[in-house]
Amino acid sequence: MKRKTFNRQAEDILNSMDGAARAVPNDALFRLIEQRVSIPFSKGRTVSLGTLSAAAASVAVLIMLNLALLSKKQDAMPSGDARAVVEYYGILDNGEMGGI
Amino acid sequence: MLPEELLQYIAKGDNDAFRQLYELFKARVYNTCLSYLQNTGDAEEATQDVFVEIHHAAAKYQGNASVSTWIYRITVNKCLDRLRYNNRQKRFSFLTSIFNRDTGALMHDAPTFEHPGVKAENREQSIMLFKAIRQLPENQQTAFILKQIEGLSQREIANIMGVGEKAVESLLQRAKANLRKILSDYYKSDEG
Repeated sequence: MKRKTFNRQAEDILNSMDGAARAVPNDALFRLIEQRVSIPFSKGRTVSLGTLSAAAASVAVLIMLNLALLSKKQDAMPSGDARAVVEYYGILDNGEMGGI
Repeated sequence: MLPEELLQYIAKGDNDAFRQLYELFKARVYNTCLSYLQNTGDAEEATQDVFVEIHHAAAKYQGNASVSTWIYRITVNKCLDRLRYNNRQKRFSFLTSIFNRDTGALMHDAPTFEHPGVKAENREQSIMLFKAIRQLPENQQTAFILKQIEGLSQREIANIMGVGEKAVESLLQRAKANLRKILSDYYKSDEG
């Protein structure tokens, strides 16, 4: 009996949109669409948050890789070579260039 | 003027033709968007997106499908995109604010939706129906909305979804079976 009642109720719910009128948008909506359409495509184009985040993440990874590579190179440079470079270019202790 | 001709004029930049096409299809587009998104603000934004897309793509319309099918296809895609975006946002906000700070109530429960065109005697049932529709998989949702709410034929739905008529029939059967199951769960939880 209960099952029968539920089945009938379920059918009523599934068919509850029968004979419903279509919803109509607000009158002002077309003006908004016209405004969007009149903006040149290049100006009106937006970048999604996902694309922006992916681009930002790529830049961050590139910067980190560069920094890691630079610090590795500095660590690997033998101190003797560094000294030779300083002497060759005449870089003084205070950071000024010597007479080249 | 026929919709096909209107599109040709729109492609040449005729604003009157665009207005005429809008008047012809605004209710179909908006009603479909409202059925998917169940929120007037979202439905209005999606309707804007659809007509902006129609304006930009008018020159690309090749007449392989009827204008109505072409517009419904754009509408369904825009609505599904927006639904996916909303779901992503919901998942994210669920992590940051599970509870309302003021009342302590759960915030992720979607509000009830009342379709403005429903007959007064069917109001309560339609609220239950829209709540259940939200839980269907995308393709079943599309088939059900286009059939039961937009009143399209299976052939039209098949053309919009890019599948065969048999596939639409099967999607509708599965959608109804799933809706019955969801509704029976509500029924049980109400009794218990």
